Amino acid sequence: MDPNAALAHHLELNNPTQDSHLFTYRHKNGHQPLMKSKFLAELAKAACAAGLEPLQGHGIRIGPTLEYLLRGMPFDVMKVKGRWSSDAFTLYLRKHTQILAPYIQAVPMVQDTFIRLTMPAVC
Amino acid sequence: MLIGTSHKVPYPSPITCSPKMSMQQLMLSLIAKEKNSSPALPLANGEHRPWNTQLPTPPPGKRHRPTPYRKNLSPLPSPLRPHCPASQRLRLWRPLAPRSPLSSQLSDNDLKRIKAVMAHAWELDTHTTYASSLLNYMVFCDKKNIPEKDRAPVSQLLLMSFVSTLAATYSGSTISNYVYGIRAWHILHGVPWRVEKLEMDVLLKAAEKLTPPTSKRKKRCPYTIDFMMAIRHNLDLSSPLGGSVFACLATCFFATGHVGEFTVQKLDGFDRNTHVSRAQLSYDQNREGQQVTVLHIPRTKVSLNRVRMYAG
Repeated sequence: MDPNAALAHHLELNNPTQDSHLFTYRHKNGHQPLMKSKFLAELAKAACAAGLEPLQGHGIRIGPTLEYLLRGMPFDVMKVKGRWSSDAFTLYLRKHTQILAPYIQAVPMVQDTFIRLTMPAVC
Repeated sequence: MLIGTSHKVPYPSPITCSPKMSMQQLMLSLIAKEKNSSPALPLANGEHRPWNTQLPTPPPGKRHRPTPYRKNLSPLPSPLRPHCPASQRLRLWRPLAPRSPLSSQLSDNDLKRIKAVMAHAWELDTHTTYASSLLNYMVFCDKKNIPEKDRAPVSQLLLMSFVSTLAATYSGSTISNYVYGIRAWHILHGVPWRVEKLEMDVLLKAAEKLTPPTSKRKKRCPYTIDFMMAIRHNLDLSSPLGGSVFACLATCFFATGHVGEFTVQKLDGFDRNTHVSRAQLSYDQNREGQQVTVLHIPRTKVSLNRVRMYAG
């Protein structure tokens, strides 16, 4: 899974011009920009073909947040990387506690921070 | 300003999601950064820049023919509410008593200018979302025979009745958005917004709790590397569309982007001032000499979203 290779492959294959949409692709005799609906439909089709339940588009933003955190990126760095201006993104984590639990427990350092961020304050 | 970093793998890697993927690859991060407005051009000493610059019209987006109203959601005809594309409704539907010049020093054109500039505070899709709130509100008022003068400014009671009517039919977030839409319309047209916040907050909270199960959003599960690998095996990467889709997925994921920042809503909806074009892709090196991929996002809703969340 190498994003740079994926991007390079696409650029070579579809060769969008400088002023066109980055993910423009060849279609019939011309080019067209990648539409959100088309993008999500293709992903859903591929997920079904793999025997998986399709996920929603926003999962593409939540996913890397978890991935980077679980790989040890500090929360404050993640906040900047995701361009969040508030701590609202920790809500994503709170909602996914069950999904995350097995992964998080494997990384004690992240788990500590996670608990500090998601547990309600003791008063 | 460079946002995001590319690390020379200082972190331990206790979990490997894919044996093929090294930490280094993962951290060769794609960096998405927001490009703020371009710096003003330097002016010769003393030169005066002309005011009242022409605005991008209409704010923003293209003209489309209006689609017919749905049968159960058609407003009674009124000169105040022309049939127009949804994206223009917030601007073109007028209250009975809009902003009016206090003195003869300000002309109608000055007032038009205020509205035209103000309309740019909302993104095009926010205009479209709010159009639906305005439509629902006006249809509600039609059904209740509410006279024009009582529709704007809306009274506390009327708005509460509107919210209560929709509760348990629509989701709480839709109803909240309707309230924000009506509020935005008041602000845009200079109509005072006098809504008792405490009371409204409680009512909206109730509407949230009464969200019908059919309107509940499916849980948004995170994408994982494994999931993306499975998808990759089922996409035809040699096809133009497949190659583009997978590149978009990988870019969006590693740049922690929004799908909306990397795709377009409509086929003719590409706008180089809003969407990422190829010209905005560049490569750089970090201090350790590693390659960094940089994407400029011309415009984003990330910050606006927050404003909307607190609106009301």
